[in-house]
Amino acid sequence: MDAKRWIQLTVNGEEHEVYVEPRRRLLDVLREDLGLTGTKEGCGTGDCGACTVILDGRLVNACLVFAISANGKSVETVEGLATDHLHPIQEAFIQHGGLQCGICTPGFLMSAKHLLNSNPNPTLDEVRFGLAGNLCRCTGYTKIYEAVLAAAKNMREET
Amino acid sequence: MSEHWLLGKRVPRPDAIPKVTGEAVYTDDITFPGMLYGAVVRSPYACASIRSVDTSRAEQLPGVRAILTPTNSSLFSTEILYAGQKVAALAATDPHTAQEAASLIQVEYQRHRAVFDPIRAMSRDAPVVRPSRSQEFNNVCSHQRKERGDLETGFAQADIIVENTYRVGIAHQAYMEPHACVARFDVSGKLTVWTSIQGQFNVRASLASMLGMPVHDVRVIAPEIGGAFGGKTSLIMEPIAVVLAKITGAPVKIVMSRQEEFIDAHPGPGCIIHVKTAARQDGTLTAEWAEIIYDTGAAPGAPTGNFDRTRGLYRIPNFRYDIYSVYTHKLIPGAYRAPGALELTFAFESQIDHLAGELGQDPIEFRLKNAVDEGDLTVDGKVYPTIGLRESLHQAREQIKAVEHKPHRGIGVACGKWMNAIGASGVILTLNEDGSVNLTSGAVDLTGVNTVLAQIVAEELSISLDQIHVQTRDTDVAPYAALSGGSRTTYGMSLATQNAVRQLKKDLFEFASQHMPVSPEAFTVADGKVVPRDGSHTGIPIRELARIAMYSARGPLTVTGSASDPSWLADSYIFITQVAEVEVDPDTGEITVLRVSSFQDVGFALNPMLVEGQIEGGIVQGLGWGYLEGLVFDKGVVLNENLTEYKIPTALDAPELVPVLIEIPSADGPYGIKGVGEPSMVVTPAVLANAIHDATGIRLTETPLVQDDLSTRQGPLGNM
Repeated sequence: MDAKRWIQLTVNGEEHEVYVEPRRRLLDVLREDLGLTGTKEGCGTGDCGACTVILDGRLVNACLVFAISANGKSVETVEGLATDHLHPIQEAFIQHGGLQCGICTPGFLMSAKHLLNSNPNPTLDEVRFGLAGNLCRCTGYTKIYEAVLAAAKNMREET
Repeated sequence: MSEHWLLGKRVPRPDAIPKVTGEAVYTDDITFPGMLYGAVVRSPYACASIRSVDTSRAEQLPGVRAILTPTNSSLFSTEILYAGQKVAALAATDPHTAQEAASLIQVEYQRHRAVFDPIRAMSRDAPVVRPSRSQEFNNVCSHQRKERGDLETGFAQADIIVENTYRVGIAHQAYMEPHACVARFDVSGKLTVWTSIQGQFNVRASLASMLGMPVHDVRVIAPEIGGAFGGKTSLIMEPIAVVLAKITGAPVKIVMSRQEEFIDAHPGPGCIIHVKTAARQDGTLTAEWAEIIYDTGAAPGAPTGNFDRTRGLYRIPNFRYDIYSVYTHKLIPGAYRAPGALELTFAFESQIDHLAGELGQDPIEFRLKNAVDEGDLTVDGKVYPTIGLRESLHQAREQIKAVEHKPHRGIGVACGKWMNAIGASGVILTLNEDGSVNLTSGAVDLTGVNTVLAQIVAEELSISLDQIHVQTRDTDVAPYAALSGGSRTTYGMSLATQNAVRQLKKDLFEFASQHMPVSPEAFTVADGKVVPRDGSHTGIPIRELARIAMYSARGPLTVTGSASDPSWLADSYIFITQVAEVEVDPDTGEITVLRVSSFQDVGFALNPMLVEGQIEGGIVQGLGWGYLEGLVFDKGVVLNENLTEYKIPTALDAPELVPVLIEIPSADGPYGIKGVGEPSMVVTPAVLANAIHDATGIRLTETPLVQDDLSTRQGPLGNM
């Protein structure tokens, strides 16, 4: 086992210093060291997208990122979405029935946020493409598309 | 159903809020100081005897606290019946150490001859997996026969007979949350288990029996559950976690990896259906014969008991169905959303389509000609009440008329049936001093049941929804509830809630009559108040009565409600017709599903948004099993044991979905509802196969309906 190292992470705007073994993943550090269990593990192999977070503006599967390789970087997780009120994407998922069991939802929310950051007015096909890395087994996806399109509209109207 | 003010409305789920913020707690989110992590060693061979297990290297690894093997634990056997079978387990201080230790355990196997195909397994010279219950065949786990009339006469009356063999592959429920559990004993010896499970009380009963403990010394807590679909009904890792916790004295968590999910959970079964269906030239069905062979793997698990629950859509005067389940050296199947229905519907609805085509008849008219009606008999000889099969076919016919025909596109139609269960259901209702209501349930919320129970209480008391707090509590606190499955949960729990809230109203009216000069029977509720029906008094708010009762000789207003049915199934017949539109690329055979419309009799939709969610999710799962999914084996070993190679539908695969709700009230269901959790996926592979046939002229009889069978363009080497 390699020696532990100190790394510095900015998570949802807050700075953290964490002492980690090199074999531990960003997902482990978020969930175990920082207690941010909103990011879920569905497969551990980057297939399901349940652990999707935004790392320095890029969408990543936190199960495929070693924590030490995120040293000095900025992470956005589901816990950072709501401020004093719910984010419009969260609100739309609730209102449109865009979730059932909820285990994939944090990953979908982060993918949706990333999509709408770069494309505030997506077509249905752009939404489907933007969410293609996230698996949902409950909803059949329809109500998720509806939620993301509704959130996009609300966000455009707000700004 | 316009008499309701809140039932039938599109109410969002209150539990969606913690789920979108990340605050919702699932089993893997639970940790304790000093908690250990379990890992399991599995057999790479399908049929073998264990000669020795050497744990010496694992024992030397720092952080390893306990190792269980066939030598020291009855949880493990030295006889291996499938690849992936658990051979040993251990607990260590962190997950990495646990995995490393598992890889250091050396197992020596003596391999034996194995059998993987159920038909091969039935031959008299096949290796014996378990003793056969048949004199005639090897490895028969169960056999039942359903028959009526005289087959020979029925086939003799026919002008046409269609005969095919269908094969349905093993498909995994692929819930996004792998199985997880945590076991902890407290100092007094009481056991608490947190687990990702559909039924808390089943787990309590099983663990208490295993440990020889009274049920009240076992507490089972089901945190939020990340999908189940029938795959979280039985114990998988809990006994191992419990024994490791007992030995080490520390809490033990076990989380299955996705690979373990694919090789040792309980997926939907493989099935082979050989069927002959006969009709007259005028389209009247005369006879049907089928031999249905389930692959039940290394132990009983195939859902062979649901034939009448899912068949009996057409008047067939002469039939015989033989249903076998057969042992093989493969993993053990289990329940997957409407267990037993999808595979049978695929075969029998492909037959109907095939016959209609041979007779040159429209597939909907052919079905309407033979469809059962009120007064007809089910397969088991029960009499149908008013049912929605014809109505769903009529609505599907209108939908099809509107579809534009284009080259390489096809339209398919198929029908299905399902029945919901009821199951033991209990609730506690407590009126708080501010007039709000707590409802305590022991049923795991998979589909939004807690949302509709809140709607029922609010509706019945005429108070606003935000005053109702429904919670699933654990086995120490909540009344008994059967597992959430069999499309029973909303049906059974709504019955219990209806009973409870009506009792609460009765108690309220009795108490109110002490404060108003009105007899209890003369009251009703309106706008959150108890008021006399004749308007002789302005009434008293429920919150006021609640407060007064609490501090009077009456005491708090608390009631219970129960429901059950000894026959498990409700007298609730759910019929569905689906229409699929597909496009098949003539060069590559690639299938694009454009749209699936579903016309389902839901009885009454308490919350149409949630009902649509069940239907949409079910259709896409059915599509997955239909044309994308299936475990691939080599000598009993699952090859596609990850979500890259085992493909479930993504957002790019899911088509446009049109869920149409037909409301023909059930006779005995609360508010006329019927179960909606399972039926939607029953029809989808059949309707897909029929649509592919319409597009290509090719009838696929095996799932997944593979695309390279479908290229219809003539290439230089012929039909490529």
